[in-house]
Amino acid sequence: MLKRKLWRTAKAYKVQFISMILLIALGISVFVGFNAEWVTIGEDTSAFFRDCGFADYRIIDEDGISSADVDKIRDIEGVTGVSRFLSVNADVKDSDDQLALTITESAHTSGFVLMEGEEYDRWDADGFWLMDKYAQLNGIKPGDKLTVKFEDMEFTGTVRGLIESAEYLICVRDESQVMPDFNTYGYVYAAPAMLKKVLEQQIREEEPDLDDDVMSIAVKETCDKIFCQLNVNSSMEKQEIQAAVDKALGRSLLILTKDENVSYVESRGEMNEGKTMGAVLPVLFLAIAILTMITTMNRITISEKTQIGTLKALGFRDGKIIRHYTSYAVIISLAGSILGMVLGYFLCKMVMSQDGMMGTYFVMPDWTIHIPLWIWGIVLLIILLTIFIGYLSVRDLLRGTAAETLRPYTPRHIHRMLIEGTPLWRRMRFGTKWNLRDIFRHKSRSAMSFIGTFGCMLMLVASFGMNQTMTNFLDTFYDGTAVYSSKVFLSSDADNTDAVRLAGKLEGDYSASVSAKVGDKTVSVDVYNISHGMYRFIDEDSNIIALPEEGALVCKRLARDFNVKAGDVVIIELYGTDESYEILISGINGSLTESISMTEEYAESLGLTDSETYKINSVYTMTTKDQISTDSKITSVQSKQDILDSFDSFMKIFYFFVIVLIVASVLLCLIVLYNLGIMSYMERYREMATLKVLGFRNKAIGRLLISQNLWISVAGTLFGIPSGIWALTYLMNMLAGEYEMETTVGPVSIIPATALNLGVAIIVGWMISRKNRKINMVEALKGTE
Amino acid sequence: MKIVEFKDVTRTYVTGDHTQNALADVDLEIEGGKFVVILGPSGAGKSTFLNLLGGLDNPTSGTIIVDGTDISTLSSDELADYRAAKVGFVFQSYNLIPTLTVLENISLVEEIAPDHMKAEELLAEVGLADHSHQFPHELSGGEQQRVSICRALAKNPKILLCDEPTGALDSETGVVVLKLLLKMARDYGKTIIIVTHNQNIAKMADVVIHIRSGKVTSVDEQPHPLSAEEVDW
Repeated sequence: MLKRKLWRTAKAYKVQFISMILLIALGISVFVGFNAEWVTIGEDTSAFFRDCGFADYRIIDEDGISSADVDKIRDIEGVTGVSRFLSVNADVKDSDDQLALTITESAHTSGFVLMEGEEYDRWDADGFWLMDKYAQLNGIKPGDKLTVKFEDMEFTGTVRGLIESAEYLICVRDESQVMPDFNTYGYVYAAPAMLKKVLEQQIREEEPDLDDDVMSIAVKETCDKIFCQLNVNSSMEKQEIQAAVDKALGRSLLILTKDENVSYVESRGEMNEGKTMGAVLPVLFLAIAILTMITTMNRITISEKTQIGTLKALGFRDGKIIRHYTSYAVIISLAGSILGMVLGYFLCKMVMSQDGMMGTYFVMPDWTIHIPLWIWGIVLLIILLTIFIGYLSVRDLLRGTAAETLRPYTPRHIHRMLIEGTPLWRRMRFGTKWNLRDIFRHKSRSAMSFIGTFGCMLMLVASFGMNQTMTNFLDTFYDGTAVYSSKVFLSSDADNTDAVRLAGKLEGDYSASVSAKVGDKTVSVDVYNISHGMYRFIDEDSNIIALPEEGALVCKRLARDFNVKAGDVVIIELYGTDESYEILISGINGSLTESISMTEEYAESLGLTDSETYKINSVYTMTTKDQISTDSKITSVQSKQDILDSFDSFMKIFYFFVIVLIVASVLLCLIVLYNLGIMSYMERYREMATLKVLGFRNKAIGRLLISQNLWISVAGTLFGIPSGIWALTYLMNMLAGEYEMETTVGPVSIIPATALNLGVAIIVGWMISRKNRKINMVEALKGTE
Repeated sequence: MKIVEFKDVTRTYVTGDHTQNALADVDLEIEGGKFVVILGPSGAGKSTFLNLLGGLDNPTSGTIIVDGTDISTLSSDELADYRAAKVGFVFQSYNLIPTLTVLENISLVEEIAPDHMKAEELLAEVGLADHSHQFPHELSGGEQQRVSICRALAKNPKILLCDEPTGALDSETGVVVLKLLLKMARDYGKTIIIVTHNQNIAKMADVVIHIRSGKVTSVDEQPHPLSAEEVDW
């Protein structure tokens, strides 16, 4: 019989029951969705890195790495795999597309996962293994012919298989491209045999009569020059491997760790961002959901007090009554958790799937969603906590005798507030006093309403602010600093004279980037010749500044890392040389990359331009990409619009998160306020009936109800604004510290956030206030107190 | 002068398949300024009569005219205005707002009643001036009912409607409250209609109306009602 009562009581409190289920579901879905996302990124990318033998270290020597060097490094204890690795952006014949032509001598290091077609064969001189996503979008199938050109070399072969490689988990042309464009850029693996074949053909064209043995030696020597990168698998620390390599080769080479590889660092970055997001916002959701649960469960049990007393008087044992009332919590928590897990899974799936948001960023074969044990554990804890809350609510009521429990619940008596007795209080209308006293009489309900609107406002400000910060960031860097239309990348054989000639022809500015070491850190030293104003610089507050004539600008992150300010001196050591230079820091700038920027004149005064590693590699021009004629000294041209377009894709993912947060925040606020509003309505039902009997109109009573809701919401909103800005600043520092993003929260963010937050409060207030039309005065005022 | 007229008033409640006439074809007139007691057993229809007269409920059929106004056709807002201006209610369970002080409970009607009386003066008259800043829970039952009477009178209504006003009080306190109610009503020239099943209260009335099974069985005028002291409680 109690089972029937269970369902009927649930029906009687359907608003509270449904809202509690939805709250738990919302809290758990956001928590599971956000946390499963970063765990999935971590698990799936790690598996992919492992399957492809993703290199732990990349040893760079611009003069080339010989096969003898490879043997020496292979022999180092602790090195488990080595492979000379070549990756160059090659043009696809009869197309504007480019492919990263990749040759790895060992398929076990920096290899790939075969998706379709034939296995990799390092002796296959005519085979290509092409990125599957590029192949699909361009209608290329295994068996099709493909020709790619790099400088004066032409590689022609048959597509043997379609693949995915962890080296190109994030397949971008260069660091200035934020998002991949699989239509026009991909990667293709060729076997070392194909490289040898192409080299042989090239040598044969120049010297047709070379015999096979000499040819073999010539090819080997060319290969030793062409392969400038050796990829290494090893669990050694960087210092250890650096020392071991320097010792083995007898020269100091630049060694890049995984953390300097865009695929690795960006995927770890995504994971860490997710982790930070997962640790802040969803926890807030869960906390609000659980606190509202406590309040609601407590109120429902209190309103069941007489019934509990009746059951007790009838002879039901306390244990049975407790089980009966706790079963409400069991139903709510189980239904909410199951719904939340399912929603959370799909929320994660919307991001982490081949066709999902992250599918436009990562290319990897396995997109299995991972919900780790600790997430299940937390969900289980929430279920247990909910049941415990239910248990506590009813246990307190059962403490006394049946007669005591049978007595109707009398709410806590009101006490005078500090404000009473002041002239202000005397001037207040009765409704204001009534609402104020009610707020303090039902502190937990009021506090929960406040926390609900405060939390919602915090999340709304953070979400809208995130959007504004990102827009401001893009405006600052791409409208502020990058004036050019096109960035021209110069080929490796273009010397500085070629560069100056091209810059002159294109009426552009040029820059040289030199890799250098400051302490243990690798930085880019960028030397600019700006005579056409194609590139500008910004200071710490995003104001446009000129490059100083004397000294260099250091970016904010490096200034912080090196603890330097204007007037200090930094010593840079150029990789691949023994040269070091003392650089005077003249100012600090905002920059997308970790760099030190200076004028060509200052570099000349230092003698840096005389270094053999100094090489102009980019030209910035207003000439549009399609108007730049082909030139053997140009590797590729990137238009600013391409970069902005790739940002658009990035922004789509970003907007998705922002929208999920906004929708979830508004839903949370709506459910919390409606639930508590209904509770407030029920608790003040009798008082409202009295007002109605006295002659107050429905609208007047409705206004009283709305105004209480609104006051609390205004307070929540006011406190939510600074807290939201604080939360956003914290998140931005955690998530995008590497981008030097300035948290920007202005009226563009605060106005819509406030409108949404107060809008929800007004709508909920209106929905509840309409209910007072149905107050049955006769029924409400029956009986005794 | 007639202040209340019930013409063929019926109030039917329908619960599922069950239909019950709480009041059936009631025709009744009440003169202004009188002290009227409505007597009847539980379920006779006394409270329904009071609720219809007070504009808390609408008749199923028939016409109710109060002070010249047909209240049976009024809209919800018009009924609210009617309650605010014409009738004052005193309930068995006082129905004071627990979060307002004594004075605030009374003066809140100032916001709706156009011709309201001074809350402080009324409180002084019922001897509760010293309690004006206390909350209802800090008062005894009798004191709370006196506040309730003040609140009903504060609107300066033509009619006071009292539903078992002494029902929750011990007899001694009940007498005090009744005396006060009568005194205040007479001093201010109000019509009092009390619904009760207490025969003793009826002895004090100018008119006693008996209701049974939803019908008015008799209307007795008492030319010489007893005072509260004369009634054997």
